[in-house]
Amino acid sequence: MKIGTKILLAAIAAIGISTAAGIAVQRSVIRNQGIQQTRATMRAALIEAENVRESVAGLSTAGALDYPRMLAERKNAATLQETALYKTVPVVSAWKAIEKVAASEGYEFRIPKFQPRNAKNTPTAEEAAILKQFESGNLAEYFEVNEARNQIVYARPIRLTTDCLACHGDPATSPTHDGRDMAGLPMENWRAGEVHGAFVLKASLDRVDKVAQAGMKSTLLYTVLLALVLGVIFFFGTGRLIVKPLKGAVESIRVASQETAAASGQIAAASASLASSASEQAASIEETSAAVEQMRGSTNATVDHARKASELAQVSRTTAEQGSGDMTDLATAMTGIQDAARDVSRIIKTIDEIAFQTNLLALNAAVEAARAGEAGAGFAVVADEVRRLSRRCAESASETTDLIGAALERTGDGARLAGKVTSRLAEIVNLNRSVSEAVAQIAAAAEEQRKGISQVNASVTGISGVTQTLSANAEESAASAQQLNEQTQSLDESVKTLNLLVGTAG
Amino acid sequence: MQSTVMEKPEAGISADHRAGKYLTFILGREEFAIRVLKVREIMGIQDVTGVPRTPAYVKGVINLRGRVIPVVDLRLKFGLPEAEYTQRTCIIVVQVQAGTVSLHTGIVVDEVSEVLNLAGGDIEDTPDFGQGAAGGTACLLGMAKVKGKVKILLDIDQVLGGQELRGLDALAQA
Repeated sequence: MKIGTKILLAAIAAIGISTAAGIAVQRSVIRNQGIQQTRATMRAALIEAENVRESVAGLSTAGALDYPRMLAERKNAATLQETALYKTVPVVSAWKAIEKVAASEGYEFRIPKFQPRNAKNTPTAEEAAILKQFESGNLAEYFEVNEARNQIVYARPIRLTTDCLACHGDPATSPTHDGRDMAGLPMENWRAGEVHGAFVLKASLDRVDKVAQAGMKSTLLYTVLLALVLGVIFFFGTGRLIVKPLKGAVESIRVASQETAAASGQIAAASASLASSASEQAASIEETSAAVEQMRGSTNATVDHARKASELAQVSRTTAEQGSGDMTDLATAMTGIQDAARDVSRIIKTIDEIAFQTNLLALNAAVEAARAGEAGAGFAVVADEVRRLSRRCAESASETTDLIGAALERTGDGARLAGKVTSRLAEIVNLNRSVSEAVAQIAAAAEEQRKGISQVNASVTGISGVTQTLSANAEESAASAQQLNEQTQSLDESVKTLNLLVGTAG
Repeated sequence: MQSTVMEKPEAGISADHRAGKYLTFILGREEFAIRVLKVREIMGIQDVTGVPRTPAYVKGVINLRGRVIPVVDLRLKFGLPEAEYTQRTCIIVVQVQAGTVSLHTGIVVDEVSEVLNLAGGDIEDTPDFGQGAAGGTACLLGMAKVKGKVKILLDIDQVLGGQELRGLDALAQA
């Protein structure tokens, strides 16, 4: 149901309810007023009747009444009620007055009395109750609204006054001395002030009700008209003043709700991706941790190896230095050999010279022998032999020289090689030094690396902690996004309800 | 060890007057030979005292046991490039016949080899080198083939002959 309709219905209902209440109140008031008015009228009538009674009694007391004529008439009358005497009875004049009023006002008039002279005045049950109340107490009046019969009952007691005793008093005072009153009826010996009977007026509230109804009808009519007018006003008023802004607000809420849903979707997606990134990061951190551990292990191994390498380099250097020393000895020995060889060479040279000279001498001898001719033949032979010897000597010397040369050459090679080896050993020693330095650098670098790894480890642990926090935050974010989504959905529901209320589609 | 073979001068096998004992020596790459009878003495190289105003091939003079002997560098005489004197370089003192005068001259040779006994069959005549070489070939007695090698037989008289020698001799005598 639309809100406009609701408002309209509410207004109409309000009007209706207030009208109903008003009408009810009006009816009640009117009824009450009617009742009170009726009561007042009744009271006035009865009091007036009592006044009439008093004045008639006063007339009687004042002797204004012609009793003898009336008595004479009575004797001639069939019933008491036709006589003028009857009319002078105060209470009769009273009830006659009341009868008039009752007739004109439409009241039912009753004069109930216990043991009445007139049988139709026999009280009903309720009248008997009223009478009893009057007789027992000092009740001045009785008023009752009988809802069952829709009736007002108003009663006033008939209290005997002294003038009543003329007919109802002590029989001893009977004017006819037979215990009967002037009308011929027996005197009941009532006293003054006693209650004998009551004037009861009963009015139906139908008239009042009719008035109330008429009032109700007119009120209803006006109210319906007013309701129609108001209804139209409300119809258009709510439409413009309430429904339109509501529609606008609902529309903006709907848009906001959609955007919020989209935003919450984005947040959820971002949270999911953040969570997955965080878990990826955690996995990477695991890998990094493992890699760092490996690095640490290998760094330790590197340090150990560097230390070993350093020791080996040390040993190697010592050995190389020893080798260098040995090489120096070798070089010295070689130099010794070379010197010896040179000495031998020198000697061989001397021998060679001798051989040469011998050769020359032998040639000279051969020449002289040739000059000598026959005599020098033998000498020529000797010279020849000498020459051969010298040649052999020269050859041996030359061989020896060759050998010495070869030996020298080999020694020279050896010395050269020794020199090379020495220089190599020196290189080895240098390289050793370099290696030692490099190894020391390696060890230092490995130490640095170890420190670095510790730092990296600490950083990785820090990152891991941060990642965990990130993960937790991402999860919280996702949960919040979920809640936001739910809220958005409930908002959507509300928007739908509002839409139904306001009357837009969707 | 070479067996001692007594060699007598061959007579009658070859009527070549060039047969006989020769002293061989080396100059540059060639081996030359001169008659042993021409040889006075062989000695190792020693200091030569230079003499001014003498031809280039005349190295100077030496003192041989009191006698002053002119020394000729045979390489320069033959037009070979001058070589450094080694310990094998020898001076051969030859007796040169110049006309009627007999001169002792020393020639510087790279190396002295041996005394050879050349048979006539070993000796060949000097080949004809044509017109231009006539002057040079006159100094040669011939060519000898010994053990596959060719030794040039020098006529030392021709080689060292000439006016300059007279001058040298005069110098030596002075």
